Amino acid sequence: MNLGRAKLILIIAFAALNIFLGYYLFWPDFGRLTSVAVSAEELRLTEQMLAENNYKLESPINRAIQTVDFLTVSQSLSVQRAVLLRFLREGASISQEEEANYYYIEGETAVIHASGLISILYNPSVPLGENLFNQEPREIRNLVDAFLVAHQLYFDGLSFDYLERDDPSTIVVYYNQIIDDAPVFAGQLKVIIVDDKIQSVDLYWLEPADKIMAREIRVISAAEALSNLVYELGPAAEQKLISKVELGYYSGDYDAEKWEMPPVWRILINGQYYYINAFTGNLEQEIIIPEQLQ
Amino acid sequence: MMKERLKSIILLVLVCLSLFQTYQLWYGQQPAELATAEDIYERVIIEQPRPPEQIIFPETIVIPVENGYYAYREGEQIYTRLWETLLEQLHSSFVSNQAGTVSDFPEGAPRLLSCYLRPLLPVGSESSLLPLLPESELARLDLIGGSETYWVRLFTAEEEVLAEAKLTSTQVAVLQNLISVAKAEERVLHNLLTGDAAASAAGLNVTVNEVIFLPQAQIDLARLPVKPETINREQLLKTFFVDYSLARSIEEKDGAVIYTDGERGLRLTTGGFEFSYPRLEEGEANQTVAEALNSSGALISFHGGWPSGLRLEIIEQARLGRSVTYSTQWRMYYLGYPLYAAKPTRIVFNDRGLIHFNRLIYNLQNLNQDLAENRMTAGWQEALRAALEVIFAEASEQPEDLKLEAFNLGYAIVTGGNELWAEPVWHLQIDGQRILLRADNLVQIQVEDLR
Repeated sequence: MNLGRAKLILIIAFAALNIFLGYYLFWPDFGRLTSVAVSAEELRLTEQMLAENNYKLESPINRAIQTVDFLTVSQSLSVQRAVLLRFLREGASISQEEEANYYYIEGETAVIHASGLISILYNPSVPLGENLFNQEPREIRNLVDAFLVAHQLYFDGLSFDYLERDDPSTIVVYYNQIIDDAPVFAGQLKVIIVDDKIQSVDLYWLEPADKIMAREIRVISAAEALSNLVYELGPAAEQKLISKVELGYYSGDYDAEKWEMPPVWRILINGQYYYINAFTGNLEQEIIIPEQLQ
Repeated sequence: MMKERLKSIILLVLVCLSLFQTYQLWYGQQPAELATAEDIYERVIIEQPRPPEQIIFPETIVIPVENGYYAYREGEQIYTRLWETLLEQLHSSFVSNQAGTVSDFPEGAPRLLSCYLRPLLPVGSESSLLPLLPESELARLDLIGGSETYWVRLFTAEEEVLAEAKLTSTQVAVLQNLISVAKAEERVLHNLLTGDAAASAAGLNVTVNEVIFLPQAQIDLARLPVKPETINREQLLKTFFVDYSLARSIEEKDGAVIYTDGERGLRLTTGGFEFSYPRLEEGEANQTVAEALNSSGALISFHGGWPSGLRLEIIEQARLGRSVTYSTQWRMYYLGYPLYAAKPTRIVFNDRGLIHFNRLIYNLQNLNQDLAENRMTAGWQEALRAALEVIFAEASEQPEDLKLEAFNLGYAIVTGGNELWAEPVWHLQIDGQRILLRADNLVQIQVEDLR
């Protein structure tokens, strides 16, 4: 064997060794490209755990590894300004009170709360259609969409979420706000329909701020979120259906300068939404800030 | 030839790279199961916790002199020296072999010094200071004696003698020297307030349940600029959240910032912080008082540290439904005078952990004393009458009996212009109602005006 051939064999051998070593050294980063947050086995075990506790997963879950940051937001002054401009252009009369300002035009009252919540009350209520309670959600949604567009309330980032039928005469249609391609689950726009007429629109619009890419953290998997939720709720007496598992942001409404929203897994069980913090795995309660600090 | 040289270079590079990667794999990475919490989270050590006897200090140390008493309180150098020396002497006297009573105790001998402890100091097996004494609580320490022999006598809150000991000649010499140093300081004489004296000044029946020493003469106290303590926010966050990068922040319009992970919350203001973890509220508090003192001291140390002049005022156990908690309240002192701020520094905890912590500590040290404005305090009799006027103005009918629970000079933290000031005040607590009066003109300072 000549020296040249020996060198070639050694080069191939050492190249293979380097690839092998490199793979193990940088495995976590390689792994992220190739693996999933929830393996088929983990999914099977999760479904088994759910079944043991009388829950049934009916929705597909996102199995990819995801990294996100807190979403920093503030109250949207531009949307507040847009709503007020319309009222002022139509010659609104104004009354100021401690907790809110009132703007009146014919048939509408805009209430601007200190927390940033805007309520538009219609008096008389605006007819939307007939016999809405028995119509398909998509038809109701189309009617509401058209109403919002006509009343200059269909803002960029608005996305239909779900609708609730509270009693035989009341329908509440919820919209999300999409920020950075992710939904914000905080009831950003709510349309209240009573007896086929729109009674009010509640608007709580946010603006994103200060995104720092370097702070992104890996979120817990959807399977882990489901396990945590079942642990919190305990076994169900009757079988409950898990019909939606999705990732977004969730927060209360604060009278604050700006605040961070954590990513959450929103899980729909028998018509009720639960929010699992996608960083800590904790069940997010209504009161995010302990009462003593509010 | 060129090709062979290139092969050699590539081979050499590959060999070196494989050696480097092998080294990295072997030494550079720590297996997850061997990584401890210390590797992941930076250790946070602010200050070492203290034993109970270094947490509970006397409310007042008095030295009887002709026509009255000299009174010494927290925040004064001589007070600290007196208490530390007494602790040393106590420890050596009662730990060695002289616990119990002594046969040659000179009944009727003069009292040289007294320490009034509020809250009471636990003694007994869990106490490192007085472990040989029966389980009890120390309320008063008297130093008694003549020219060459001293005795120490310890009392419970019920005025029962807990223990007594005769001091050695060396101990006597140390204490004699220190008492003479304390007496040499020019001080205003104090009187022990009696119900009769208070009733005579007030013009109605007044019960005095507490030990209250009041100055016989007017005192010149300065109105002083004050600043809240400086808090290292990042360090503090690390003490409250295991991984504070998972806590979201909420910036309030008043400049305060709340950090919360959805279960616990920390509100940081320019002057202090408030922490709350309501989920732990339902729990037991089975710790002994000594253990609770240790826990509380550790919490003060860990979450912000011990500033000089901080004194424990109250330790109590509270039961509300299924929730049993310990609560401790702390106050800053400056040269013997307590500081009254908007909220006291207060810790609530149980066996499950820390439930609530409010910390608001002001600092009068190292500030520009040129800005100080002197105030001549009104006498205590006028202050008592002014406080009663406040009570009468608010009450629907004039009370016949009053219970005086606290009466002292101090400082109220108030705003003046854009600055914070420590304003000299008379502080009274009558039938549970707290009243603050400007020490010079006796104008009431409302609790809402405190900062």
